[in-house]
Amino acid sequence: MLERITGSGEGGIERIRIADASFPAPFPRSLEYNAPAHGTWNIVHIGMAVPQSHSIYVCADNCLRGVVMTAAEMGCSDRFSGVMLRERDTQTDNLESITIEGVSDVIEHLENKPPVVFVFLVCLHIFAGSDEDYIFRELSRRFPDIRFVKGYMDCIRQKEGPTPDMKLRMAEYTPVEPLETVPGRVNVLGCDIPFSSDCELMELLRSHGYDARQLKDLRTYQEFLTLGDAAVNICTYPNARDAVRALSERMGCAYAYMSAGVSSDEIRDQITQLAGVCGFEAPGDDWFSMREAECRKALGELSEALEGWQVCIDYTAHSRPLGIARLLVSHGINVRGVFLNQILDDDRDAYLWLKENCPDLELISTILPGMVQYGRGRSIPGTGEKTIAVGQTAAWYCRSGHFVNIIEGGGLWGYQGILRLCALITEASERTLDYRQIIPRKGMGWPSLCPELTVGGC
Amino acid sequence: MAAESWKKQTYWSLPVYTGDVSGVCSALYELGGMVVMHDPSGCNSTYNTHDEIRWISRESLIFISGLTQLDAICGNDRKLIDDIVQAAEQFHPEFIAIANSPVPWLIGTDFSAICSKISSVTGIPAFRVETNAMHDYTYGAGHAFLELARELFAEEDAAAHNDSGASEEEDSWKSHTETYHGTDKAHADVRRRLRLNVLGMTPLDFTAPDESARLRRLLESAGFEVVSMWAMDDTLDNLRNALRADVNLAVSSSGIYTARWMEEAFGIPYTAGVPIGAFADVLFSSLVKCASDRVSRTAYLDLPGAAERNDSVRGCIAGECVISGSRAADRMLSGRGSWDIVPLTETAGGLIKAGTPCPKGESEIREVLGRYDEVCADPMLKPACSKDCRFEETPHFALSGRLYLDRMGSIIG
Repeated sequence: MLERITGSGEGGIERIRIADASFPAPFPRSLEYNAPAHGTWNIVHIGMAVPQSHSIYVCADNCLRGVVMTAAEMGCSDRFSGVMLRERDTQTDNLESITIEGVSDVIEHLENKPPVVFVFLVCLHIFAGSDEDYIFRELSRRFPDIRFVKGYMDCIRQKEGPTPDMKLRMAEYTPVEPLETVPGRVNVLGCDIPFSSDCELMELLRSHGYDARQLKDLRTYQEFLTLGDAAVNICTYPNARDAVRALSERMGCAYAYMSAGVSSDEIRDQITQLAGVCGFEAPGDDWFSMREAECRKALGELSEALEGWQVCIDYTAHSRPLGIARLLVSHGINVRGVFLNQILDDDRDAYLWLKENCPDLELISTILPGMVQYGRGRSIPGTGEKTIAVGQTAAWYCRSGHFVNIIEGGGLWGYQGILRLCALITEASERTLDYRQIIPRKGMGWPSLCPELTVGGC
Repeated sequence: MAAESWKKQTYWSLPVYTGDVSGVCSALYELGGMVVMHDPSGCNSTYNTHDEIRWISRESLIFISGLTQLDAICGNDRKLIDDIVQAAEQFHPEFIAIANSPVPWLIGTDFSAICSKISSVTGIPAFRVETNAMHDYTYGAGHAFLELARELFAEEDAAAHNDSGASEEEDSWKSHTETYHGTDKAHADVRRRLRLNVLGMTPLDFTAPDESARLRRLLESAGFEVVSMWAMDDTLDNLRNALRADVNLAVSSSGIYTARWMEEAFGIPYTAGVPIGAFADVLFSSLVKCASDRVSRTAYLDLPGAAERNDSVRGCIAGECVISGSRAADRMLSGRGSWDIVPLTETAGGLIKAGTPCPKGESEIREVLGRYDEVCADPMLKPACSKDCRFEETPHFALSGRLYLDRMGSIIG
């Protein structure tokens, strides 16, 4: 039985019943806390995913520190540089000089000139009124063989518009120019975690003779530019939606958005849509029915296996945490809570369903100050040994080594994605991981050069 | 801008040191206060990922304000005040410290008024630590300790300004040290009475496990009484006793701001240095002399010949000044030759000998380090040295972060 969590006592505003939660912002804005779960990608990782690119951040020391160490920990210091802003730079001009001269100085020192350079501007450039066009025009004039791409680390604007992550995803495709379309070529873009070849998305494309490419398949910048010859672009991740749509409009090619579905109906719709946009015949009803039955069976078995267990899910594990919750709850699995700070449009239906059918489900903020009390000596009340955490943040707050270590959906898609999720949850119930060693490492999927992350008593 | 001054600001392959905002958080971490970074987003993640090894195991009230563009443009300080007051009511911290990132600095946020308002509403002391994210951790941590000291000893500071005469206790102590100064036995006796504060201890410099306990044991076994340790493994209540000390020991440049202020405000002299190897006894003697003649010292520069450039230099020790200087002194005293200090952190004034180059930016760092055949520094600086250089790794958390935690040896030994 769930404990009552309303009121101003312990728990306070950081944990609420979904029945009492508003859409899309269930929590108030306040000071923000940061849990030590860092497996998700940040803008350094996203920029580096463009082959042969070099990133240059023009920012203050404290801001530069985070990104330079991200690059160092992933073993990519040779693809990263910084220009450190000082007080006097804001007094001499609008930061144009230091940006242009600093970036130029960096490039002149690079042994191998990169074909593409991401130059990241920051909050200071915005407030100083930097002439960004002039900066990039001048850099392009000085280094005509290099393609400059404007990136932002302008965190101050992220609550009032696209986040730096979304803007960078938009920027990263700007060098891609429309090429002569190659029939049958499909770009599967957006999600940083690649899809395996056995998920329906990739398998259906391949079996119908399509050449489906993901970013990971492109080894050089020249190959990256060939994204411009695709007949279809498919976006699989919410934060990349605007970026892939804009790319598709520029290329004049077909576009479809299909982030990983988390219900049979949704998956059926997506696969039908996939067939339509690519121009192959959608699978017959038997094909769907057989796979749906497989999923029902797997979820039923999971429900039996999880007798006495509860599950917590966080938004870093999957962009549809409420959709996952609905999937599990509707098959009799005890979902205790969902960690999130906002509810995306994609998850609205699941939110409404859970509000109606599982009103005591807890929504738990990951950033409100009260969360500081959880994760070290104390877990979220009611969680503990028999809790399976889906995602790193859930693992931290529930203090559970029974965790599914995925980010951004973990490359799960379609019916295979549901089957794989069931397998991962089952596996998590059968073993524990040392989450305190795993979750502080940045950028899952990239190397982490960090050794053991605890020192002595720390 | 000055011709080519940007060369001091570019880093094409080297990392940068921990920034000032993280330095503030690190300094105040263990004292039961609440630290708020007035920043949109990134400072908190940077701090707890790369600059703070205690985050996983030890709770501390460290938050960001989540500043937005609209609030900055409209000057909506009310939100910051309300959010801090709300959190203070939830957690009842011992104090509230505010550090800030570039935009609040650029728009001239009135932190004095904000802190005053917060204090009056909550009854909790609130102070601002002057940062803007454009300095390194020695500046941030140093000013955090300084502002905390000013807050803790505001009344005593005011009283001291009204009474410039030495106290009875001071006179008695001075006479005692003057009487016995001169013999080893006398020094040991004096040390037994000598009370000191350790200033400038943070895991950014002293990262190895139990480093503060090791230092405390070493000082106590040498006969000193450690009154307070700013600020590892100590409490805010105990830090309030700091004015009982006869002398301050600044073990890093982060401690030097408070040491100088306590000297100016309360006449407590200081010695800068870390008791490393053969240098420890010299440092201890320096502390005794310092308490006796009331003259502050940078102990590693007081060694014969250390204040002048030495033509027979064997190599250099690069990094934070006080630790590098103490390492150099240990080597010199133990017959391992003369070593230059190459200061790479910001707070260096008075902590290095005159004429010491202070390289800024990768070009200058490469140029200076490239002159030496032997270099002792963090492993991430190795690419900046000459190819044939004999490189001795001394990982420094404030530079290489988590990358070499498994090789992070004790500084004190």
